[in-house]
Amino acid sequence: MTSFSMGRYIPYDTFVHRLDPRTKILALVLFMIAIFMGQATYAMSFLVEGVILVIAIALYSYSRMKVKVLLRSILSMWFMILFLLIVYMFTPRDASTSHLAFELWGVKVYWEAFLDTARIVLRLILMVMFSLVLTATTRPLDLTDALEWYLTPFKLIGFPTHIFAMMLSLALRFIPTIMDDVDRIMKAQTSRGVDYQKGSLISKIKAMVSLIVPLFVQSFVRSDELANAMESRGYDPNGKRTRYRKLSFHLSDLIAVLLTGAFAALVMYVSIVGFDPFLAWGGLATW
Amino acid sequence: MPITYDSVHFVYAAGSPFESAALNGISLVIEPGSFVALVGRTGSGKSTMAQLLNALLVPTSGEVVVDEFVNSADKKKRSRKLKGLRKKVGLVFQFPEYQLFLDTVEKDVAYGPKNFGASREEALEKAHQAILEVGLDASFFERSPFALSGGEKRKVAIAGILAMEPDVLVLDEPTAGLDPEASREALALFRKINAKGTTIILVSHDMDLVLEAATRLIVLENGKVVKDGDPSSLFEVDLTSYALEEPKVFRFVDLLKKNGLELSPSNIRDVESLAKAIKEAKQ
Amino acid sequence: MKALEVKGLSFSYSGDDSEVVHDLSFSIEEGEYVSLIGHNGSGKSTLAKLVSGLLGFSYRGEISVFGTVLDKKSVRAARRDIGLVFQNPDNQFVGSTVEEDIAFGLENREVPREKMQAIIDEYSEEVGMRDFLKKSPEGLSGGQKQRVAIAGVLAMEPRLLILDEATSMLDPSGKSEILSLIHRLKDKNASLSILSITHDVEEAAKSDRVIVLNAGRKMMEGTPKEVFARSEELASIHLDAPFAYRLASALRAEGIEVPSDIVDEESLARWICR
Repeated sequence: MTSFSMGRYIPYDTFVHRLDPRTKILALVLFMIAIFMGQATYAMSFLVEGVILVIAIALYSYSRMKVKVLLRSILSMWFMILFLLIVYMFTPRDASTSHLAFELWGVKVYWEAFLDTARIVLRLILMVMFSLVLTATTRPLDLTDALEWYLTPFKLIGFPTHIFAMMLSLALRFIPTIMDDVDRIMKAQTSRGVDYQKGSLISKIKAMVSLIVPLFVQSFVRSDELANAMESRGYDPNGKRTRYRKLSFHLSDLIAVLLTGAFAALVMYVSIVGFDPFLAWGGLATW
Repeated sequence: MPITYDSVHFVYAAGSPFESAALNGISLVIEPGSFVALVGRTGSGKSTMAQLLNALLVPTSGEVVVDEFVNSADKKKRSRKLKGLRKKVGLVFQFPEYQLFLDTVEKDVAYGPKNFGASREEALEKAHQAILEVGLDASFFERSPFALSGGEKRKVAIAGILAMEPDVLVLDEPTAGLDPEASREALALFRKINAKGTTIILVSHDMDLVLEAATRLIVLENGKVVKDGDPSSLFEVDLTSYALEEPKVFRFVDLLKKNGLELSPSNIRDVESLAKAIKEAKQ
Repeated sequence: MKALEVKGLSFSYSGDDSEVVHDLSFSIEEGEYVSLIGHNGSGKSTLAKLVSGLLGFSYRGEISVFGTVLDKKSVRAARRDIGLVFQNPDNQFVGSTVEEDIAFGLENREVPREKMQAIIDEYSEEVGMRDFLKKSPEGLSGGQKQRVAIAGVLAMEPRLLILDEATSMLDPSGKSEILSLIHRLKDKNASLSILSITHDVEEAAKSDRVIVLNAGRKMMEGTPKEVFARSEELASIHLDAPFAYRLASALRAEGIEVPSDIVDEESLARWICR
């Protein structure tokens, strides 16, 4: 019984679940580009990222994921946020264009430090959200297939994409099995008095050995038997095979790709021309 | 002191889409020194019940009490030091040979006692005793556990738990994958250990084994106790509805009944006692 | 025609002097159901791998499958006639779902995708797993996984089915699921040859012929009746006789002389109550 964890596929049946994994990977890349495009001013940056946040939240709740999980993942980043803030505080800035907030022990702290931190944290949150939507709505195996599809051009230079994909899908197939092994071995050793949580460094290392040795022994047995089973069923890594699993690209995928593509293009366009509607407000334009 | 389950519920992965209830209100008392069998289909909750006994799992509600140790859903009631409970209750998992990891048999068997505070010499002494007890000889002490046959590995793994000198021995499918001879040897060992006063809780779906060994039988279904009594009371129960097989001797008693010979199942445990009962009935 | 013929086979694992299989000869006729029994370590599982070419060809003797002598060149073609089901249900589940696992062998044989669905439907129906096509292995019982393994093998239409302790890791209900499935398959397709490697004597009692292996050598061979009548010899190599034979000899020990031709539970019960 493997426990519930972040980033795991959650088998619901929503519009996002039904999308072609290739669509979802492409959309993820497009959103990433949109997120990391620099904008002319802070105001414009936050406007664009605010819009993306709305999209992310919509997708997030549409995929029936719990906000609790998201909040937990943001909270776990607190240390990084603090670290970023300190780095930005000590980043030298041009005093003529920056806005002084206060002075601390002789160090001039500008408002821009806070804004930069907020912007980077927002970007990270967006990245995490989109990635979570992808992994929660797509079976790992479909991801492998999509990845293999994107790697197809590399076949031309002799990269064995099909072997790579088979390895990935076998690894994915056996993750739950191996997690069960880990669980069972840990329980068995705990019953023999091993403590995996407390104790000195040496006893912790010993505890890990009591887990890792049996895990390896068993994994070797498994892989040996698996190889036999595959070979006896006619598998030849270099041979030609047909494929049962097929990715299918629907109209909804086309629409999704076009929409995200258009959105990313728009964000790129405003970024490149340096468009800023806040210029009209004069004061905001200096930020 | 007996073992007590008090309205124990257990839910796996509570609050996630993978949530599943394993136990739905188990209340029972197991007397010290008894030989209890827990049976039921895969997923009926029997392994969960076993793992609650040494606090590998903590109940979602209710509590399990073994002597002074309380494994309760209520944090305030739960005993602080559950490690002591793990010495008291030895748990042998299904395919226990997969927990072997040290380079010699004696070191691996001594690992448990050492973790529970025995000195090196003491632990080795206990290990040697346990290895001999499971029917291996002294030539095994310094051999590598990885070079043994499947049956021998199983014995070493069981010795590893016996060396901890537990008061309660919990066995989860101890004979799975063993050949008949090795299964019989294992059963004889469990009986010998039980005769010395150790409480034995056997989790199994091998009904022949259960009938031969246990003095009390608990049938689980969907996390609830559906039958609890003397193994010969099995005869009255339609075991197939719990995805269990009727013990072979009982199947034959049924067959005799159909042909007009009625035997009382109360003393029939194995082929030999069945033959005796047939002889008596015929005289 | 002989489905499998093994002549003077001896084999030892590299770096190990002791022979796991020693001068072994036997054959299986087409359509025959043969059980190979022996206790753990008798060399029976090694044999399953040898006859399907999984351990290479560095053995003495000769193995032929439907008349083709196994060697490096012929093994691929010969394997098309052999379907192997292994012991551990988890370690032979290649696909991520039931349907993908059944499809695995078909993909290797380059069966066009359009034809796969019908084959998958047919064989999943055959083993009673049609309603589970989209399920992943984690949610299945051991017996269900083994049924999927059998479907995956059957989909490749083998002429010789080799079961390598296919039921030994299953619970009783899983075991009887698989055994009744095998008998159903045999009834439906009389020309299917089966070699079942097992230590379950109740299962062996229901096959056409039993071969007893001990320490890599053939110790006995014959109909179940002939083999299990020699229960003392079986006991000497740690094998049980089936229940009816054991009860008959226990009755004899009590002084009740059960005739030796009574070997199944039905007739034994009738004889006792006569």
